[in-house]
Amino acid sequence: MGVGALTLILAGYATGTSWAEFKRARQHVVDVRRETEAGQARLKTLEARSAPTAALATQALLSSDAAPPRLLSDLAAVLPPDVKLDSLALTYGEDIAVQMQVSAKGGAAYEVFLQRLEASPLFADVIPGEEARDGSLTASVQARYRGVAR
Amino acid sequence: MIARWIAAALLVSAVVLYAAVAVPTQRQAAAAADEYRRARDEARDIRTRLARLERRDAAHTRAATALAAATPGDTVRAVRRSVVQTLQNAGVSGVRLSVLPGRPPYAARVRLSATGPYSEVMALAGRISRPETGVVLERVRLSPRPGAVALDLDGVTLGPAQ
Repeated sequence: MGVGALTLILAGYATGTSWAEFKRARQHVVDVRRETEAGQARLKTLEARSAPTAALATQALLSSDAAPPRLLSDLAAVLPPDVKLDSLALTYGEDIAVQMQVSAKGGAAYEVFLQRLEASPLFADVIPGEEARDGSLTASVQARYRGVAR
Repeated sequence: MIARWIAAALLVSAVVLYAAVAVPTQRQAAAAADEYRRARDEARDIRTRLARLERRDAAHTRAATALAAATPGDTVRAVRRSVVQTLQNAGVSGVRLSVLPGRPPYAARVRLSATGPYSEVMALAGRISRPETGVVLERVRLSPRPGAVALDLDGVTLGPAQ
């Protein structure tokens, strides 16, 4: 009889624990859903801004968050020692278009630079441009900076 | 004998309670926990998007109000003063500055060029792009000069936020 009573108590305990767990999880779901709905409503409001205003706002954000010193520092981090940045043009808009002219001591160093740039999560849409090889190598490269968008 | 029957009844009740109530409730709890995880991930995604949009709008408002002025002339003077302030103590030379009234949605257009050591030019570009100057960058060009770097910068200031 003791074993029966103990088993019943254990079954009751298991049931009570499961029920409490279920109630707690449901309450969490309700709380999170409420937060999500409020967030979605706010998102709709913000996303409803006209495209030109949104584009200007993005440009203003990029201008302050991805100012030239930060972008240059991120670019310098992927430059191999044998590759030098000769010139750089940045165009701020809904993203930052990067146009650069580089010179490298050889084709291998330039390849390493392109590989690093492509592999970097901070840069996207890397397009190698015209290159001139006469002992050393000079080339133009286009890319898109997405450092602050991650 | 009665005690055995009671014990058996207790045991059967325990099994029935466990199988009919505890096990389904555990399954429901596990399902609710999964749903919670999905909802939490969705909420996190929305918070991230919201944070970015709010930062974007805050940047826009800051840029649009940093140099708010009543007339185009006032705006041009305020923008010019703001840029000239950033040039103070900048170790650059050959400065060319032009600030002109802009067409909406811009309040003014800024064009600045200067030459100097790389560190000075970078510091200047960083100062100009600070939100408090009101200047939003459009184009920045850095090109080599003997022993120095030339900076050509096009920027705008925004009109009142819509």
